[in-house]
Amino acid sequence: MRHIWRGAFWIALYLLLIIAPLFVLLIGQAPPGRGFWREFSVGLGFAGLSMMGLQFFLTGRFRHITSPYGIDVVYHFHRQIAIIAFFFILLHPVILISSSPSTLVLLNPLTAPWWITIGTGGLLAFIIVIVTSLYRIEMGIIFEHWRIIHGYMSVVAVAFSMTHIAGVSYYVQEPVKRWLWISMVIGWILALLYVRIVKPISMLRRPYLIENVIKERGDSWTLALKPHGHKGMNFRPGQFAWLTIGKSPFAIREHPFSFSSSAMNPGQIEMTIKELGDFTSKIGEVARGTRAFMDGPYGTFTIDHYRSSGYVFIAGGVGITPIISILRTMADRNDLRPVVLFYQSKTLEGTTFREELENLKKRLNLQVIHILSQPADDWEGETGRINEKVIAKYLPSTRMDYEYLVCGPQPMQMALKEALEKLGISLERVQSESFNFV
Amino acid sequence: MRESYSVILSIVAGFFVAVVTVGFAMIQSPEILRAPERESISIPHTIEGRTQCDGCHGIRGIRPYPVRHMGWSNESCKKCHLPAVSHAIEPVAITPAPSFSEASEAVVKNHSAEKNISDERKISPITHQIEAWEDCIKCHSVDNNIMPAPADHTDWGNNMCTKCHVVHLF
Repeated sequence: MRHIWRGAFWIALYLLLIIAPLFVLLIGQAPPGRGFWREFSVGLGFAGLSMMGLQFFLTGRFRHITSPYGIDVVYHFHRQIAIIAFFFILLHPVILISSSPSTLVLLNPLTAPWWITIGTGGLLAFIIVIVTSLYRIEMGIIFEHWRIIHGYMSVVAVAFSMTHIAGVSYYVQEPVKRWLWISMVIGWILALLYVRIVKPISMLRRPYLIENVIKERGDSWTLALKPHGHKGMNFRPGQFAWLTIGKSPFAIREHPFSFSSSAMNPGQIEMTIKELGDFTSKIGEVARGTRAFMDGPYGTFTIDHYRSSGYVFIAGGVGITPIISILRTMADRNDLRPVVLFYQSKTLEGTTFREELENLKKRLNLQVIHILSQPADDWEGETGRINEKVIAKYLPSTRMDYEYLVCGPQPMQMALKEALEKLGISLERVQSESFNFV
Repeated sequence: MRESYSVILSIVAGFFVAVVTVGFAMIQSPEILRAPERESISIPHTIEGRTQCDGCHGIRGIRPYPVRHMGWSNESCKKCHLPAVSHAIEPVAITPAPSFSEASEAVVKNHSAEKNISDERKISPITHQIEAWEDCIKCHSVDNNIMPAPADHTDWGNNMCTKCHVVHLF
């Protein structure tokens, strides 16, 4: 219940902050209007910029903001609202020029006033941010490069836009209004400084060392990290953290990975990583003793948030990682609530943690159903893809009282949502996390 | 599944912002909501090349608009005020048009005895249209920098000007 109220509070505050500038502009002696369409375009510009400035808070990973929803939801919102904000900012010049075609000459940087040219520059910076985010893969931009472009161009875009407002000065002439806008900008800068300077400094004080690099089945590697000079990180089973290996935390070279170790051992952390992209394909080459830093823990994909008499876990591929952390933690807690695990893999040979799961069956009330999409000839278990028939076959009669945790590729999550709905499972009892941000 | 939460919230936030922005624009430019309450005065002068209505009809202009018009844009004027048909676009016709030298050397017959103007002097013609520009003193007062009237025109009202000065458009 407390989560619901906190969630509602942050949403209300966000809506208030994005429209507040428009009300601020009207207090005191507002300058005369210049026609509906012109004022509408100006209003869109102010609101769009305010929404973009608040993005620094959304991506700041502030726990009080992210905990009611889950950080994945906040990051997805950051992406969606950025598109809407950019649309508003783009409409600002489009409406201005459409309603007064003579203003087209202002696009010529050689003759236009400097504050117009810098506004155009800000718009171009926003275009770069949005286009590279939406089409990173199609444009062949690797993740690390994209993060650098994204970070710096966002700051440039907001700074240019604020300078444009100051130069036009039509609505911010009065000291009160000018200082209110300056206060907003200071807030955005403080959020940025916290993310880029304060947090990395705190991470520098809590380093980790790579103690072991273990080859796992299914093109995966487990990194064992030992805290260096501190007690480690308390986390809930199923959570994740951003990991930086071999670099300073000030460098934007971090990647999110789930914990695979038991939450009962914060001083011995493990993360299991599948070879999938530019960075992860070289994870097996990390040397022992390499320095690492972690920003976390984050995430709401944990049984500690969802009390239930039993659980159904559905994992596909590397989605087994948070699940194995949950199972190991339950074993260490001697938690004997019934658990059914549906595990989608290609082959039995490539099933990550296959042996570990067999051992956990001896310590837990655990049933494991392997579904193989490319089974060997002698495989007698389930084959193909997880669907409602396979799930219905193994669910107990108390299925309606269980909590369902799903972790895997996005298409699999969508298909399972439909499958569980067909089985009469309320979606309120289905939990998942989605990390396909860029 | 969880992405749908953020999509819904984004759409709601965007719609909310758009509505508030429309409200902001309406507050700043309320003419979009106003229907003409009374028969509007026709524009007695040509409007070609004249887009800045508030230059003369602003609240501090020569012929200020009513206070209720404050904040209304120049574009909104023509929504209610239309040029009068009888006062078309053509400039004032001057027939017959005296030559510049004739106009400047004309001796005024109707002198005001009070002003004691009996001297012959060169009288400058009016080289611009005078419709809507009845306030001659605004530009030609004795202490004005543009084209000041002679010192002995002090205290003369606007109704005196055209008794001597005639329009001559070149």
